[in-house]
Amino acid sequence: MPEEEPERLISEDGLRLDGRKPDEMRPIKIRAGVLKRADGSAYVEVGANRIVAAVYGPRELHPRHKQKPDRAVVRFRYNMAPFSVDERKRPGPDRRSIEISKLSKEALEPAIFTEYYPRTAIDIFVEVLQADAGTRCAGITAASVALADAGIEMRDLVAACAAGKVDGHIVLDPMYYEDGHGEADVPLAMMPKEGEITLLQMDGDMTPEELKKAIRLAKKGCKIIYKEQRRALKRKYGEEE
Amino acid sequence: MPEYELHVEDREVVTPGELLAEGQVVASDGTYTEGDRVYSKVTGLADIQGRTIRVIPLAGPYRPTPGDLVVGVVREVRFSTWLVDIRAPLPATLHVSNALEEEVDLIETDLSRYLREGDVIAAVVKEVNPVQQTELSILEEDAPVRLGRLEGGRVVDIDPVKVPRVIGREGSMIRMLKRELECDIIVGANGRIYVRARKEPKSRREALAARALREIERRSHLKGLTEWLRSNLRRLARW
Repeated sequence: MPEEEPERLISEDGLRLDGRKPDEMRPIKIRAGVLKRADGSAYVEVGANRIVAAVYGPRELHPRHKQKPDRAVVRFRYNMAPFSVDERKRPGPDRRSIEISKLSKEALEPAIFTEYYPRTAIDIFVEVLQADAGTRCAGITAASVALADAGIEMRDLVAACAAGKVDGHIVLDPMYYEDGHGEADVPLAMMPKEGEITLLQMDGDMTPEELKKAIRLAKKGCKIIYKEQRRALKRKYGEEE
Repeated sequence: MPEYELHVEDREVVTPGELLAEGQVVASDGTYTEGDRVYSKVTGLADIQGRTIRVIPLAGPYRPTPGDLVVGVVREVRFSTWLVDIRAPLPATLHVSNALEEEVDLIETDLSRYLREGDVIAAVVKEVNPVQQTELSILEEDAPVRLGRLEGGRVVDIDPVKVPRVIGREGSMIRMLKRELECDIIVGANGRIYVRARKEPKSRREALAARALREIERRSHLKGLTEWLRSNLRRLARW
């Protein structure tokens, strides 16, 4: 983002490199039902992140020994396009995307009434077209809208957002440069209705107080995203709030 | 002091997790409760009737329910059953005892004598067990149409949640289509629709029926659809 190495990531008047306040999110855009062939789909922009999610199912699960007799199996595939980052990303799953796939699945599963769809699979695909930090969160946000768009029964939508530590300040929704040059990153996913957290990670160092502040901030971000998710679903059926 | 409080209006679009009502209400399909709070579990239209509240889904898979008339495609012939695709998450089974009146010697008989892979059938959902194993029957006496193999004609798949629209209020839409197009139409609750023309030119009539059904699916949210379609059938025919 900056042409030259900036001396500091937060200016004297407390603004970030992209002009945001520490507790300010990047602009968000969400659309539901963007793919014709998928049972449910969504497109999400968070800052310069561009992400598409597709949901298939519930459908028959093969091989049969992987079926669960009492519930659906949720499968999640997070993938980054080779052109999604500055340096070409080698295509295919790597250590990082396998990890993100696993935890995204675990972040969404508590929201789904999997017991209604025994012996089936619900397949979720998240494709990152352009990455700008916080793709795992934007991916979960998109996947949750795609699940609701597919008509799958859920307790709540799952909204996700990150907080981070940059130049000693706790900030909401770090962008690419802050993520790369900051001290810590805390992605968080939650079901906003009850405030239940379904994903919490911390990459970097923070004091317990800083972590608490980061969680508070990320939760605030999730609530903003949650509103956008619901608006996107309602907009699909012609109801603008 | 009211015994309950509604948080949404009738016909409002709601999303999963949205609070619909609190207090002494009857929570019906598409909802779940926590204490005395009622939430939606799908994306759909809130439907409030008196103190009964439900959500009509706007998308979603077909969920077989006993008594449903469905149109299925035979996928596999087994020793004593047929596996039938009814567009549910899992295939349904049709057992010989629910398909044939006469006794058959299963050792001697290959069931594909009666129904083969690819055959289209009209059937009734007989039973759905807790793990969603679905049993069909083509021997139900009181079925609204003749059950069993459907020959000739064509099959159109539409979104299962839009089936009520194809039928219309008290069957008005489907009656109009049958009359105007001179076709026999069987609407499966699973969103699979079988159409067969009664008069020549058959394939043209059937193609027009398919187009009309697609149009209903596309315009399902509009009011006065039956009338619109009746007056636009001729235009559709010219496309």
